[in-house]
Amino acid sequence: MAPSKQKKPAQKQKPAAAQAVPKDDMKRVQTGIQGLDELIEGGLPRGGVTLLSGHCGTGKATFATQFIYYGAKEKNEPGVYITLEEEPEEVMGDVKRFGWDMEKLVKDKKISIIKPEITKFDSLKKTIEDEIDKIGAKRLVINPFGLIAAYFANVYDARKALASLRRQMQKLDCTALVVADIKEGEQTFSFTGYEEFVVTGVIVLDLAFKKESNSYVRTLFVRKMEKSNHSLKLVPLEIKPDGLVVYPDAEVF
Amino acid sequence: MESTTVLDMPKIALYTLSAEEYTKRLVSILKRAGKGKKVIYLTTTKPYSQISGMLHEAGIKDKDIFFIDCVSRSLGEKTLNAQNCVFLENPRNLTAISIAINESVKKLPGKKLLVMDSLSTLMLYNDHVTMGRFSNFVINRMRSLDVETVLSAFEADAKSETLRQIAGFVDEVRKK
Repeated sequence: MAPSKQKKPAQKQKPAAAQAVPKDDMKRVQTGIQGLDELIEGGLPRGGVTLLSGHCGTGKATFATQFIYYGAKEKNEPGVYITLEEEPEEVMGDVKRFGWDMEKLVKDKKISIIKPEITKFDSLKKTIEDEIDKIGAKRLVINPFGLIAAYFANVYDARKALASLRRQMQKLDCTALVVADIKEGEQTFSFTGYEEFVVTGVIVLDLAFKKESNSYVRTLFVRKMEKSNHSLKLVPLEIKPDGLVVYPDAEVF
Repeated sequence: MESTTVLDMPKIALYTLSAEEYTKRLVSILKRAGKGKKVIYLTTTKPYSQISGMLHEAGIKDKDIFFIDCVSRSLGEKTLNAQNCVFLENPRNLTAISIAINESVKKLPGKKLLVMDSLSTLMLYNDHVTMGRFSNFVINRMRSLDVETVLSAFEADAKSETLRQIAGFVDEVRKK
């Protein structure tokens, strides 16, 4: 990744969006995804909720884990990972190939990975708050949010739930990444199609098919980032032996 | 395309070379243009091992060259033990090539020369519009990073729509 190897980009190579000085005093949280922070004025808005949206196989889980791991390992920002499908052991095991020792960070109480039962959203919120308090977390991942949204009787309740999560994160000064699985062919960025309106930011991961090479190219696009002069360029993304890398200076052909 | 002389050594030049003496002429251009520079050599025509050997024979030292090899993997050659080479899957994936060029330029210190051998091969796999976009991107990027660039193609392709378009992007077109 990424964590220990994150390079400071040369000043003259930064895209225009990254050179712009934010007009407000919004603090930024470095993602740990090499190359991404240049596109969003230095990182995710602190205390905000960002939707990480994409089809299957686009790198969402790796992105989310890298965000948590980098924070705990390199920035002394503990993180809570709420996994609603995979077991915590699987989350930790999946990233061993990148050389990320999640188990040690869990042992050191820098990371907490839990798989709560979803019964009521209020009780889930309470669980999240308790976990954040327990380790003083500054980062949160919920993967996938669609499972929570599916529990609501209608899309408006799901939207309200996310809005309340956003207020909660602001209050706790914790920056959240909420993973949204998108079905092939869908034109929305989330399960209900409303989550994207409520969150602070939307980052879209995708696979672009190239008929010339008869293969797919991984891409990243910042669809929305409040209070940020973010780049609107579709940029290539690669999964390298040590994590995800975004190439803000390259192009997708 | 006619050969014109704007400068002795243009920043970005397109060379159209005869197929018979293609490699020999490219090596001689490289020897001249690469003096005192780190060379990034993108090969889409021959595997790294062959090009490296030919350059070695011509007295060009390995330590001054970094290769981007788009051939070896597609031929199933072993690609593990090369310090000064990155191996790409094939010459079709222009996104991967653009990333490799960018990263190599960033990695190498000092004055640099990019050699793209050759546009003719890339044209086999990519359409005119995509080739135009890709070439324009590489040329502008190298210009902004102050990297001298040698683009090469077979003389037989000189009248193709793609090369005529690229001729408009470069500082000079030379026929060798």
